[in-house]
Amino acid sequence: MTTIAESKSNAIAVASPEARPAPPIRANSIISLLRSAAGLLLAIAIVWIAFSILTDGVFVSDRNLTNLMRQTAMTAMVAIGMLVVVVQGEIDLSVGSFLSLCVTVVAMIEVSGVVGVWGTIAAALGMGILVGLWNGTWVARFGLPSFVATLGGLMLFRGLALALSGGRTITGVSDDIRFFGEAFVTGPALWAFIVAAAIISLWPLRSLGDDSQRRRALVRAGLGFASVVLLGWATLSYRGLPMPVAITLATAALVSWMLTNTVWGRHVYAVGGNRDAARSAGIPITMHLMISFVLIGVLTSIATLMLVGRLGSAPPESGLFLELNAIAAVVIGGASLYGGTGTVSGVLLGALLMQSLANGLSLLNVPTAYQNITSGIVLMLAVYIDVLSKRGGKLFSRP
Amino acid sequence: MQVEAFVAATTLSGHNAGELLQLDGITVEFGANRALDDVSFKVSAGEVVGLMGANGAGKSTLAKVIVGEIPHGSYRGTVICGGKVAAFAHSRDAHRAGVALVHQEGSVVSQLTIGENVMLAIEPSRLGIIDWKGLHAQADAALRRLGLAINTRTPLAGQGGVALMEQVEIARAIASGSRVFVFDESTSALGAGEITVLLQRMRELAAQGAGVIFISHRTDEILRVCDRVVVLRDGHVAMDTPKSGLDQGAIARAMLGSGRDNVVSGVQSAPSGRRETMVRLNRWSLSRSLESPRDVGPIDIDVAANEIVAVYGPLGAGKSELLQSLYGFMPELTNGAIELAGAQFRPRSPRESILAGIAYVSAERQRDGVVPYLSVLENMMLGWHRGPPRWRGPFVDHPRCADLCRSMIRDLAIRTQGPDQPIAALSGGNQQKVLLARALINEPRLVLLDEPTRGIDLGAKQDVYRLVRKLASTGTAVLYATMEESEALHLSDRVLVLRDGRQVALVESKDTNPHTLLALAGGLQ
Repeated sequence: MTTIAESKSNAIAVASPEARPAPPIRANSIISLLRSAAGLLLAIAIVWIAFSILTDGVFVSDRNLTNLMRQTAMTAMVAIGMLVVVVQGEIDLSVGSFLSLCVTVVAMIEVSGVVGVWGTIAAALGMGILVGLWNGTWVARFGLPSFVATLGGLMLFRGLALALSGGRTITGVSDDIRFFGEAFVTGPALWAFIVAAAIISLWPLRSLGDDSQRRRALVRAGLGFASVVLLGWATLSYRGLPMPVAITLATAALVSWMLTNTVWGRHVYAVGGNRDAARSAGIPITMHLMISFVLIGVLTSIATLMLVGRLGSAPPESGLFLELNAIAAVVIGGASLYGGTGTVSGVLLGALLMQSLANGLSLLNVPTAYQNITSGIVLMLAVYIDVLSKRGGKLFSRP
Repeated sequence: MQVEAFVAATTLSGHNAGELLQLDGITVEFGANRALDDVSFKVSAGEVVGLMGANGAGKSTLAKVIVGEIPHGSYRGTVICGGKVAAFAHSRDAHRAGVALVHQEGSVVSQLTIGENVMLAIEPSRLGIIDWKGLHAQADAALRRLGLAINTRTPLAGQGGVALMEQVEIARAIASGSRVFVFDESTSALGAGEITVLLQRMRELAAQGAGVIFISHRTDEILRVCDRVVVLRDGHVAMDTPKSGLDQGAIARAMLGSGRDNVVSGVQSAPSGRRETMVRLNRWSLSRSLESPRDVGPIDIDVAANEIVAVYGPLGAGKSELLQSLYGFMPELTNGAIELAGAQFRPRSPRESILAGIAYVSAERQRDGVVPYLSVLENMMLGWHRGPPRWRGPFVDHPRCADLCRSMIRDLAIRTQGPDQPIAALSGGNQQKVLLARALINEPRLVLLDEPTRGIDLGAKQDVYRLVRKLASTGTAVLYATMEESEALHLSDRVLVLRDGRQVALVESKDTNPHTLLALAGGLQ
């Protein structure tokens, strides 16, 4: 995190970037560390160490880490879509209910057996696009606040799902679909995946030549590479990389790259940062909102396939609180609900932190009630740290 | 590449200095209200046209027609741009046709870098993937044409400065190859030095073959920069004359339609000797923080109970911060002492300051002032904390409030249908008067006014001046922040001059002329 003074001196010192005076204003450095990605990693490390001690090492076993990854994948998938919506200053509350609707429809198609696995996939993705257009139309064309439009969707889609399933769990999903939830990437494919991840994690090193960026690049590359090593160890020594994790990581890499390097991605930040400025610069706001709702719809469809694949059935209560968990991951990951800021890596770490707590507490046989209490407190603390850093370390807001 | 295209087009236009933009019989109606009535004028290449008019005369409406914010089809008449009839359905269409609007406060995204802001929506890209090298090179080229050498890779956030935001927006217009630039009150938030630079940029753009439309309230700036002046009054073109031979008086007559004078009414109500000190600042200072980016002070000043002291300085001199600190906005950052009516006072929150008899009107009327959905009465009563209770038990004492509100509407000559009209329906000047009424309702002893005449029309300005004078004559101390030299000198008894947050002078208004003030604030003396 750069302070205002730092970035200012950066801008003025055109001739000599290294001649920067010490920044006179500095928010409490511990707090600014806590809210950066490094801070999230630190929080995750603390949680992991604590659970490892409490569970005699079961928590960090390759088996449990693989399990943890798989549990995180689905929420993270939806949260990546949520990030794009939230960065534009909107919200989508309907994803959990849509997931349950999509799960039901996918299971019914599978059971009827009229189309093959590709037909099922196409149906799921098609539903994602349709729901995205539906939400996008209400928000961008009819001008409803996204909170209200998708709150309506939350009720509507779950109602539809219940009407279709009659409240019963639908079973009898084909093995082809189970591939999305149960399969593992192994052998050469896994090695290729790990090598690709390692290259991506070392990518920040290309800016080593720039003095002002050097430390940041080293920290980023170091932390990224360490994560890849951990991922490699857990997957190579156990059964491999779970398919949902592979899909989510690939999606995360793609969306992250698109957000930072494409015209569309930068305009997402412009629309969320200052919508009037974006409009007057000629960015088509309506289309942007539409695309973001379609994107989250499609990513939720993919999450559906993962869930159905893992469970092999469609329970009526699936996707409950999914939207809230996704929003929590986005917010813990450092995005602002007012729009304009947020990164994919933050979202992944946010989702991992929440899921680590749930996983560890389950290992300790802590009842769900107390898991919820912990998650709530962690969410609030994480956002409080964010607020603190923006306020320069002052504990209380102004009266 | 687009910058080069602009240069090429510029060279071509040297042979053919034709009309860039022509408006023909533009008529816009909002309901029964006719905002523009048969307005016609032209802008040629190489020309700066000043567009003036009192509030409500139709300037903004006209600007919206030109830049496509009022879509083609919802007005009558034709806009001809570059020889073709322009049917802009969107501001996007106007952009493509080379018409750019530079907003009052700069229209930028602070989360993006300076380069991204300059090239917003015109990023060089292949298959949707941004060519970063090209983007920063083009942004840099456009900024250099404005005489700016900035690292385009720095985030805009925290760079502050409306001036920079406007420059970024102008650079964007240049980079997108615009030929017609509409400046909408672009100088209203700038200090004197920055205004000079901006006016110079307008001339340079014109010299390079662009057409510039400069919308402003400020006659002196219009006369400094424009080749031709168009004045709107009640939706008509009241005047369209080359600058030569024009003076302030002629423009004011065209704007107001009658012989009303535009400058601060010349006669100064001679202060009948200063009375006892109402407020005394003793080494009052404010340290910088994330919220206020500069140190202010130390300030040492006495203000008498019937005195108006103008706080003068360019943008960024710390005027707003000084007033806000006195009102209790940043208690943890202030140092020094305030004596209010002989007693020590420590401002800790706006509420406590109000109770102690301090009133404040923000320069940011829309952001910090009005609550748009509430009525005139409710807006006025929001700040009522002194005097007899407005409550009967838990209920609003509506008849009492309405009486008070009506008397304020009468005293301040607020043009409204009545206490229950939503404040958003009022003109800017009348909204400002409601906010002044909110401050006065508590019968304050010290009034802090931060640029209360920013962006309001001449008539309302005169009303504000009269009100401030009346306040002082009834025993209230007034601190009046302003960037306009003539306003500072005509209205006040003394002027406190700030530069970079420091008190550089405290001068008697009647012994000072505008040039001295400019020199003091600019650090020339």
